[in-house]
Amino acid sequence: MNQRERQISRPGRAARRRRVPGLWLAGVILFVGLWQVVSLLPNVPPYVLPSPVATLAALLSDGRLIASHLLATLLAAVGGLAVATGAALLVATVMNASRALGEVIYVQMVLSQSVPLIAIAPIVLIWFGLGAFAKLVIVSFVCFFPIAVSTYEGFQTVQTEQLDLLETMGATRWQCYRHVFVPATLPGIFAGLKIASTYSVLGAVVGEWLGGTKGMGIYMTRALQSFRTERLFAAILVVMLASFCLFACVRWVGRRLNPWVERRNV
Amino acid sequence: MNLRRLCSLVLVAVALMASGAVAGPVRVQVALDWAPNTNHTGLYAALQLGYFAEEGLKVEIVEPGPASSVQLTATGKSAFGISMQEYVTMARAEGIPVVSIAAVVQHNTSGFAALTKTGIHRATDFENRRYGGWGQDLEKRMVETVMEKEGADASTVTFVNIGEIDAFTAARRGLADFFWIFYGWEGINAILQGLEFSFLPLPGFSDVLDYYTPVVITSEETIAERPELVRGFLRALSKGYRYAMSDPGAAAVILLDQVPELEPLLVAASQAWLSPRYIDEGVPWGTQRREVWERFAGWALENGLIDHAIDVDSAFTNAYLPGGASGE
Repeated sequence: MNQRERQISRPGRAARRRRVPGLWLAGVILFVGLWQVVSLLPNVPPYVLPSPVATLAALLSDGRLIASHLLATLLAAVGGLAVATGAALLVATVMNASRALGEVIYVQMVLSQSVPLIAIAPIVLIWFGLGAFAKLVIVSFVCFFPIAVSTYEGFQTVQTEQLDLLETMGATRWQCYRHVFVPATLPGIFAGLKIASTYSVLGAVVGEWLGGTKGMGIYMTRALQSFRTERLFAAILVVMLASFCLFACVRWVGRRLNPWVERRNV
Repeated sequence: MNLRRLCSLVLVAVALMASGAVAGPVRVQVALDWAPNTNHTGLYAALQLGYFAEEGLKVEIVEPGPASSVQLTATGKSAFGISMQEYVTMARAEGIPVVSIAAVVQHNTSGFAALTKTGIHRATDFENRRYGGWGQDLEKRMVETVMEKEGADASTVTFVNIGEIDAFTAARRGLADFFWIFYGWEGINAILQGLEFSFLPLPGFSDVLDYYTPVVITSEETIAERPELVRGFLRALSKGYRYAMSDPGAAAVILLDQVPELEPLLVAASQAWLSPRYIDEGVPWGTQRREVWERFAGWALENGLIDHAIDVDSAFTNAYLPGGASGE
């Protein structure tokens, strides 16, 4: 980015930043307000819908405990996301290298998405035990698909002319990847990663919900079986926030690595 | 030179790890049947008070959720598990090699519950009502059995699947009329909530329904290959439950220490109710009677829950309880 571009893009960005948090906050306040109102309705007892105030109180009183469970969940989510990313990039590259193989794998990938996780997870836990590894498998499984598909789509955007040009210039296979495939697939990779990042926390929680020793899913089942609905809601809030943070991290890294996509969107 | 030094370091590390594995405590996993509750207090007490450590065991308690503790234990993923006699019976009929090695509570503390305002006070009142449960055959047969005992027509009952919804929440929201609950947890909680309800304990209908729930299980393989492990585990566990019986207040505090997510008032009240029920009839903790297994297996066969008779003598054993060499 040269000096001129920087001067042009800065004021635009700053203006956007100033406006967006206001809207964002208004949305949250509206949501919480509505929640509080509904929870105060006479036919909505706290065991059906605890109020935001009760939920916040539960969150504060159980803060340390929730933090320790959250750590286990985040480790599984981030670890699973990393494994899924590695596997997805590898598989998408293989699919791109051989069109025939690509079609075969594509069908399998789509089919794998219709496996009802909730039904198969108990079996996964019996195969892999109730430790962190089983959770990693579940998270990787749910995160793999969006990353692999959007990376593969990224490969499809590469025009043969570009490759032909590089070849006539005597580029090596590695240089083709460096100058054509990586820039072409990066936006796709991050589009997939953004979706996968929200799936990852959810995947970890589902894994824990279905069995385990520690994590937000375990906290939730214990709270629920102990009839503490407000703690369940507090946990849901924490999971939502964690998902959002992970998403924001991925988006931030994506913007750093794909400045041209950012420019296109402005 | 450097490589050689590295090699020797690796060798030393491997040797250290190997010796550690031999000398260190034996790691043992226990799979629960449900989220932790007062049925498990003896287990947590044995853990916190170091009874397992005294036996050279490092116990990890895991919550398998719907992945049944029976399968985890049968496949050896967990050395031990908490389950129920009905699951062990059905698993044995399917050829799954699990064995019940101790009864946690001497009598079945479960039964049917309904809010007083529904007008349900006996099994005949179930007629034309909705039963809310998990949609299992076992529940249907249970409702039919208790209704037939009182000459009621079970075909008039509608079975509603309420899944994970807690029974009394479902009752208060009018999703169904009567439910199958564990009195020591859900019933006590309903009392704490100030709800008025009637409770029809299963043992009140028939001796057949007074089976063991929960029970401690292990696999045939563990018994055959590591009998001393089973003995040591049960020695510590029995001590844990005897402690929980002798001091319900302190036991409740231990459970809350280990599982701080639980509701303190509920744990205290539930523990006070359940502690005296861990042991009964002047027999040592964990003892199981053959007739209880025989009766229930017969009922399960009669009601089509299992398709062939099981050998009850291989389904349970008292042989590994402290001081219990026989008694089967």
